[in-house]
Amino acid sequence: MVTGPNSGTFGSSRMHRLSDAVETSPTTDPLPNDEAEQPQSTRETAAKINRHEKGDLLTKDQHTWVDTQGTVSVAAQIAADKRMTIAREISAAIKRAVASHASIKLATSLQLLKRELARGHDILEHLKSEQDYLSIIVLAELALGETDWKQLSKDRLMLIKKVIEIGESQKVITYDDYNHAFRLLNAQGYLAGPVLDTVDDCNTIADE
Amino acid sequence: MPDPFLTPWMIATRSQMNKTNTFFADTTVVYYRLHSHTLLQEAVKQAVANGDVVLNNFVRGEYIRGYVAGLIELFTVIQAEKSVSDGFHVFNAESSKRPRKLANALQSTTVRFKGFEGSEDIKKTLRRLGEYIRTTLMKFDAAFPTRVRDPLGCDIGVMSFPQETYSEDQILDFYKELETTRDDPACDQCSFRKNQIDNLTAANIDLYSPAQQKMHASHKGYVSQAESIDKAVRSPKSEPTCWYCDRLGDTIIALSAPKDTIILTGDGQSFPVLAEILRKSLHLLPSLQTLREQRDAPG
Repeated sequence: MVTGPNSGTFGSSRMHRLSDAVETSPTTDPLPNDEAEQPQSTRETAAKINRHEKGDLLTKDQHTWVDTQGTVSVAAQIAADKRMTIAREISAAIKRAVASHASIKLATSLQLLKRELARGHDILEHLKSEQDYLSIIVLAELALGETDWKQLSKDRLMLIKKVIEIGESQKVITYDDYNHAFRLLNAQGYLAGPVLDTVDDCNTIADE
Repeated sequence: MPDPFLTPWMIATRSQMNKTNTFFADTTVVYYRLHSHTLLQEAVKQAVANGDVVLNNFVRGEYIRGYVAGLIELFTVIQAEKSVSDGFHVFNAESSKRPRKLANALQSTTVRFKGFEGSEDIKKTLRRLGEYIRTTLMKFDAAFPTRVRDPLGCDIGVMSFPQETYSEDQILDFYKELETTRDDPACDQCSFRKNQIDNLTAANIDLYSPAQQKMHASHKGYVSQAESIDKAVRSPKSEPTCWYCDRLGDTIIALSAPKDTIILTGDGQSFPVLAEILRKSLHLLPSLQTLREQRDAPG
């Protein structure tokens, strides 16, 4: 099960209701139980969130892979085959990187892996039914980022492999698969990019 | 030895901090947690180790108006320049006009995207950047899942990207919605202003008078806020405008902080004074420079 702020289950154990406050998360907040008891402004905020959420709750996959009979179209099948091929190639590249972990070979393996991931753009960018898998490839690129190769952990590589493998056998990749991959990587903090080592002087200059 | 980060009114909150507390995070905390040096990330983690962190949608709106809007501008500059490196160059030159923490976060992002394989290919970089923009709010919501009510009802703070297969239109549609909202916000700014004026008057709190400004002249952030508060209070406008929220973010956040929370911030130029005047608890995170000095101190 995918859990996260958009699923309505994320952080439920941490739900914290303040005495004079109502939670108004744009992704998790339910309407207050008793609207009549809420001040006007609270009701308006909740209504706005509800309005904004309505579109979000409908997960849409902009695909043409299923026809009216519910079968996968020929064009989509061809696209899926191409995607499975590139997924296997990327997966193999990650496997080589894992095998060369903690040795100087890792630098070369990583460069080859990054090249495979970039090749994924070239192959998938025009395949409409494979856009969610291309999004997963971008997640893998973000998770690899420009992390120093000597500091790249085996765990990170293994998790990237896990999300890439989704594309190896599944006939159809949807937004839900992308969302699942995002949450797996984000939960480990692998999507946070490195930051410039600049002087942060929030304490010495005016905030915006 | 006294803690150099604690001023007298903060020492009063130290005893509260031993219990389970609720910290009300301002926008600097968001930048510290999501886009800053590991020392600052660790400082946030340590500060809230024995409590919960909440924020409201106004803070989320500030993040959208600053970081997310900035990234979308970068996206469109690359398109307009028809060159990734020219786009980054033009964007970074403009970024110097933004507040420092925001400029740092945006500059880090441009450096990051330059490092990817084939980053000179416009299509690849735009796709990566577009996907990254889309994930910013997902990451924000995962990092700060708990919200308290935003009494101002900021329309921008509740914006989000649709949960659907990626397309460039999502990025541009988001920006269009942002600009449309800015042109004609339908928030509760006017009633918020009136309520706050009434509350401050009833509590006999002087938030922005020339005497207060003089007394806290060394806190330039506060003085700048106080000058804008004066304008806002005297404003004859009967409709809300984002112009004030752009300039009064710190004040609005301090006023919005629920009374049983501790304001958590990295901004030492306005929040300490605002919290003192408003009689609210505050925990000020140390600057990166101070953290580095602590880390590098012998012994």
